[in-house]
Amino acid sequence: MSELYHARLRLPFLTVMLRPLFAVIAAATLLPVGYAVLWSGFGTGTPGLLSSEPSLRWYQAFLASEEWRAATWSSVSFALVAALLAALTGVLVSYTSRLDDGRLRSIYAFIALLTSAFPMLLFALALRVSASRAGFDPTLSVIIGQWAIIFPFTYFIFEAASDAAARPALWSSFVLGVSVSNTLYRIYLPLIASALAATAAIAFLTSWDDAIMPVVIFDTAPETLSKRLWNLLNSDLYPYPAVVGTLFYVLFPGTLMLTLLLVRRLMRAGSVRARQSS
Amino acid sequence: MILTLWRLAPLVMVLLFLIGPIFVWAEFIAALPSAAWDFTGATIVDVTLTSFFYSASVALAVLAIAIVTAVLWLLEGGVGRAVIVAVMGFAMVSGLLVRNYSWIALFSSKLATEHLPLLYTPGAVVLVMTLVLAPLAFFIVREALKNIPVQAIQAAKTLGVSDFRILVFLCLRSSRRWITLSGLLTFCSSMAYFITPRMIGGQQDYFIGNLIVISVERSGNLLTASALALVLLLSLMPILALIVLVAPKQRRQRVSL
Repeated sequence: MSELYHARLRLPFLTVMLRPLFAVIAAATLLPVGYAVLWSGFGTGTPGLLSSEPSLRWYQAFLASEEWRAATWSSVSFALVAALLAALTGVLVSYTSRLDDGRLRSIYAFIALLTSAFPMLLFALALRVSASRAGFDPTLSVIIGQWAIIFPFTYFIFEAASDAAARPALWSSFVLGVSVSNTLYRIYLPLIASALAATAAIAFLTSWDDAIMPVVIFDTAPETLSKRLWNLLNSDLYPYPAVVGTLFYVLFPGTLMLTLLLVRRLMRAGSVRARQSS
Repeated sequence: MILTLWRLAPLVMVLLFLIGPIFVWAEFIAALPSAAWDFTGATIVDVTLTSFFYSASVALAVLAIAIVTAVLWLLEGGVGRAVIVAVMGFAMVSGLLVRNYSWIALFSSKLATEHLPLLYTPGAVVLVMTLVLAPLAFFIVREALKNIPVQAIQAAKTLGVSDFRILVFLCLRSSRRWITLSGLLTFCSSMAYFITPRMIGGQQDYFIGNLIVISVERSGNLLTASALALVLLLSLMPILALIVLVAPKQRRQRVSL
């Protein structure tokens, strides 16, 4: 701790100069979020015009609508599957790359880098063409697309999480003759439990309202929340996007905490607790 | 044998999911008829150049925000750091479409239309895209600053180097690859953007991504969309090559079995 203290840079003048700048950036970044909350309660049929009395009528209309409910269900289902797939591939990719001499890590790093740089609009188009040519369900394409969007994040989160802790622990386990699958379950998974929870939560949160894949891949049904929101552009703008946003802002901390708790509990169930002696 | 399968199974899966569709698409593009290249409306060169200009503006603005925020993160203590990370983290996952609709409503308000009529202008598109893409760039730059060895800073301090010089010549200088990488990634994302340009920019086609989506959405014309996408991909090739060159290399670690 004292080592970190002595390494901290002390530039009070620059800090004081940068704080107002950050305040402006933060205000501009959070302004639409705050406005969405206001708009959902005070919104009228005219964009930009707020009523003087708050009401829940847009929430009631949203919850009463069969189409909105079905779209929400589709979005949540896709996001859950994509998040599970992302977590699974993240674990397998990071674990197997640690069983190798470094070549696999380089290959995965290269793939993750190219995926993060490659325009996802083009990948969505490629998925749509593949689905129509190979004849498989567009739903599968959307899930693969959402997984591809998350894959680089997943990879880099797991890399950051397992860099420090995993190597000596895995090495010890293999030296003691523990099998590859047992090491994965009892050593590696508990070590990266936090990263796994973070990945699953981030994957879910970035997938549920992804617009690129549904807009490009789906022609008609199933209508996801993002596709339905996107289609609102061609009609009168009622505060439904604000209602969706506000519900999400309420559910966001809950989702995060629940995933964190759930994954940690699951991981601890099969873990061999290691005590770090310093 | 089993170990080899263990090692390679995820790689095969990743390649199948990521490269498979690209191969099928490449085969589709190779057989494109000449009619697919008959673009109507704005000339494709004009739109590509416009996209390039606006994307470069967005990338520069995003870099400025990311550097300012990451440097402040480096200088702040525990609470300040937590606030910065919370704001940027929340902004990153807080629903792109919802935020864009909120901006439409904000720009449509009486106050904005009277004093700052930005809606359906390129300025509004650049502003909103910058605010949308800045958090990701911030996290990349922050990661670089976080990984600067404590010993290097301590050594510089012991040698009597001022804190400002440490910030500029040690911290920012050693993070320059990551800073460049975040700028290039932002540029690539911006070039193919279609959501904010369509929503905030209105019907005007500032970005090539909009033309691609219009081809797919309105007429289901995958041929023209693919031809446009190929133009976009070719224009991005030098940037993609630069990203591969600039990217910090992986350190090799070995676990013996």
